Order: sequence, then C-alpha cells, then structure tokens
Amino acid sequence: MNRTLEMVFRAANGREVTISLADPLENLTLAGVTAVMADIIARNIFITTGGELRDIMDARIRTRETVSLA
Amino acid sequence: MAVSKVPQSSRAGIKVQTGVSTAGAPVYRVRSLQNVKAAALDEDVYAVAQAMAALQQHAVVSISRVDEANLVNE
Repeated sequence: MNRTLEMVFRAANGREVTISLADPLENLTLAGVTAVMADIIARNIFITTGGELRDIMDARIRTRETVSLA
Repeated sequence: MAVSKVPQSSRAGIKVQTGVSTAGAPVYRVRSLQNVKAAALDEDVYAVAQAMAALQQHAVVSISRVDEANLVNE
C-alpha cells in the first residue's frame, strides 16, 4: 500500500495547488500538518501558475493499493 | 561582450533513504519540490524542506536546491 500526504492550498488567483509528500508518518495529526502548511505560506517560497500560496484548504492522506491478478 | 545571468526558476529536493537493497547498499529517493521562487532565500527553502521532511518516515540524507537561469548577452 502506497501512502501520500496531500497538502492543498489556495493560490492567489483562487486555484487549488497540491503539494504531495510520499510515505507520511502513520501518526500525523491535522494540527501538525497545518502547522507545516502555515510555515510554507509564511515563508512563501513557492510560485505557481496560480500565483503565491495564500490559504490552507485541506490536508489528506491518499492511499493507493495495487493488486496483481493471480 | 557582457553576459548576464537572469534567474528563472528553482526547485528543491529532499534526499531520503527509503531502504537497503538486497546487496546491502542504501536505497535513496529524492522528494522533489517544484515551483520554488528563484528569489527565495536559502534559509527559507531549507526550513520548508526540513519541516516537510519531518512529516514523512524516512531518514533525511541531504537537502538540495537547483537554480535555473538564462544567460543573456547585453
């Protein structure tokens, strides 16, 4: 099973921008992730086609399961 | 001829060790951070990479930054 942390931001023009991170810790909390997202916004190092990152929209874990056919 | 460097874009990488190969050698992966501002300070890029690295499972080996620039003849 393949887990990815997705941090979803709203960019300056209103568009959603997702920053993904593979293999997140098992015991992540919403507070812990949003603290990092707030830090990302505060340090403002990213520039996307939608402009700078402005707001936190969502934090979620995406799980991908691959099953080989027997 | 004066050639100047015009910064364009930048990206950062978090190199982590994801495991050990059957031969016993460490296996590394780079978690890439795209769309970094060319003008972003190294301190800020490092801090964000560290903060993100703390959310994932693997041991961090190094943090890198690649800057791209155009060379313009003026």
